[in-house]
Amino acid sequence: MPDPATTKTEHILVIDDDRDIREDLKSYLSENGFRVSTAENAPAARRAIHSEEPDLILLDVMMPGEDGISLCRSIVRLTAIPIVFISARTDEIDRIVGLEVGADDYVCKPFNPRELLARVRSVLRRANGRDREMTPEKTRYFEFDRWTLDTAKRTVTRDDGVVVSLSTGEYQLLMIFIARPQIVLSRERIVELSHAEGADVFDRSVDSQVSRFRKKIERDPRNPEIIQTVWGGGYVFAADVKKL
Amino acid sequence: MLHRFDTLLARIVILVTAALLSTFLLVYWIVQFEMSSQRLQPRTALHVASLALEDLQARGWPEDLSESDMKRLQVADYSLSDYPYVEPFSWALSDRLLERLGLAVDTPVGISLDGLRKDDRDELDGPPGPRDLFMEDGAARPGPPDAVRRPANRGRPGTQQRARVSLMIADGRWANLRTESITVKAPAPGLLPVIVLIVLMVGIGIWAALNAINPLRQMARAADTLAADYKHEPLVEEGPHDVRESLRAFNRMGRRLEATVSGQRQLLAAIGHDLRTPITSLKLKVEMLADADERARMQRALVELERITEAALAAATAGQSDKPFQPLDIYSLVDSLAEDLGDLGLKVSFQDTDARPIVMGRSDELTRALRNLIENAVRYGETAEVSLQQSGEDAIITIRDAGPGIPEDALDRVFEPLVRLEQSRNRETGGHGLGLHIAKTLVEAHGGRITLENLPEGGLQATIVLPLKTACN
Repeated sequence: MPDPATTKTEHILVIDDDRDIREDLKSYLSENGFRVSTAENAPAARRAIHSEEPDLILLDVMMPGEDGISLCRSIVRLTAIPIVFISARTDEIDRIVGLEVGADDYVCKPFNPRELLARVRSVLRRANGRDREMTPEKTRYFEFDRWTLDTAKRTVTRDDGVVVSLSTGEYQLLMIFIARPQIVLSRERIVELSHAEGADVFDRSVDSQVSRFRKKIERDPRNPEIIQTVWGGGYVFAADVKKL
Repeated sequence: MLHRFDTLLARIVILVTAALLSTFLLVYWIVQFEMSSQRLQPRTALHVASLALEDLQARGWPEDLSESDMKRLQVADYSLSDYPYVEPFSWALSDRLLERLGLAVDTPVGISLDGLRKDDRDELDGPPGPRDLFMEDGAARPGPPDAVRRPANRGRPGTQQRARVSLMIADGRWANLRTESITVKAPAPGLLPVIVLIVLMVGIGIWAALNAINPLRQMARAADTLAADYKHEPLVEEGPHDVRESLRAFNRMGRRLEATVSGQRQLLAAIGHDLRTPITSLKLKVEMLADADERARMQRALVELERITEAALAAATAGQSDKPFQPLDIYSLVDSLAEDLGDLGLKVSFQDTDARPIVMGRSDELTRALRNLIENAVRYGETAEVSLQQSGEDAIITIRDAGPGIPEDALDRVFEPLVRLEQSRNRETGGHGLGLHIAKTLVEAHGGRITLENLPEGGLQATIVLPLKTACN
């Protein structure tokens, strides 16, 4: 079903050297209300971009000839068309490079078709500026207190180099807070924001999530300095956030 | 030609020869030392006499000696005369004495040594015996100096000894001297050469043994590690020729083995990698199937296919990463994983702790290893109870399930790739036989170890032991 907010049929360009993938994606996305055209290599993709002005590009990283990374770089330089990478590699490095050359999202083969659909819609929503609050930070690193957050690797590193792991829920919580430092957020607002960011896992109570998170990053979890409880219900991210 | 001597055999021959030769030389030296020590060794009568003569010589041969000087020099009797009290006789001891006094070798000197065993000591102070060359009036007893030819004793420790010396001094007169009765002491340094000898021999022995065995031990160690991870660090090709040849052959074998194994790994990885595209394509096709039942069935099959592919890929690349190690907060790693798996519907509990061990490692690999163990526990034992503690130099993570456990004789076998136990080989449980193998490979790549045990109260417990950061450095 098409996104209810979409007024026109959005156009997706699929660039992949594998014919099966191209055809399957075309059928699947068409069935879900998109207009789809395909290209099998970089030159064909450039022609298609020029003539059809797609709303979003699904781009395979590894292609014979000019690869997806290089093509992405040139598309980003010339147009504002959002790009979602598709790759058969799960290397962290690949994802980081992909996001660094300006792609909006990154999906790994073999992806779940419905997940791809959700990502595509989310990227389109952001690109159309309808989800202003959700506009992702293109910043890779954030600094707060004695911590550095790497959004590409999804890790938090202490100033002594120790890497602290975060669960998916904790990471999402941190992303919500870090975009809104010094702003008091009620529990309801936090749940709302987490759902808006597509986090189904955020079911458990905000309180228990915050308390787990504190155990990992606060100097003294019983006397928190980074995420403070506000009297009357809610939390505030009290540390200064620096974008790097 | 030169390399004929450059063999282990030649080295052993040289070493044994050198050892025997040095033993012989040392023993020879000790014997020499012992023999000489009998003579001018301190604490023999002749030594005392020579010291006294030196003293007198330095003072230009005085006519008399005072009481105190006599006492100091341990001299019983001293006089100058025109004739010798002891008949001059040239022999080894007289040569040594002259040498010591710095006089010409042909200077006439008479030496008489006499001595009595301890038992006869009383006679020493009694009337002069028949062999005594000195008369009470100081005149020499006529006749050949028997005592010289047959010394009463050779200065064995514990015996009493007196020395008499008559030495012709510059103006043709004779200095006659008789020492007090001296107790001969055992030569002091007797033990030292023996200790030196023993230490030297043991040292040479150890060195020789190590030298011969070291390349072999190095090879044994390398063979061990080669078997464990197929990563081949070439051995240094050193040592004698035949040993070098062996090391070179071992290195060739290692390289070939590594190439074979890495070729197979690459093949497996390539297959796993290439399967991702057709699986993606199938997933898209299945998603568009009209029949909901059939769609669900095919999706399940695809999930299984994807899981096997990813496991094969992980097994092929496990421990091969060249990403650097980072200090990791293991508490947060275990806690996050437990929460994420719990969100996926697995019954995982993590027992909270204050321990915050730091381990050097790659978080994605350790997460994968732990995840495999937890999934295994839940698959065969319903629930997974995870705990973390810090003990000495180690971080210890345990994962226990509530299942039936596995036979004792299979506890090691289940870590081998593609080993599945009879009881679990049905498709419903969905094991692919690579999970534990991958976990073990990854944990060992972090210098840790992993063990399984059946708990007496029931259930299977997996234990991961990882060295703490400080222990790594």
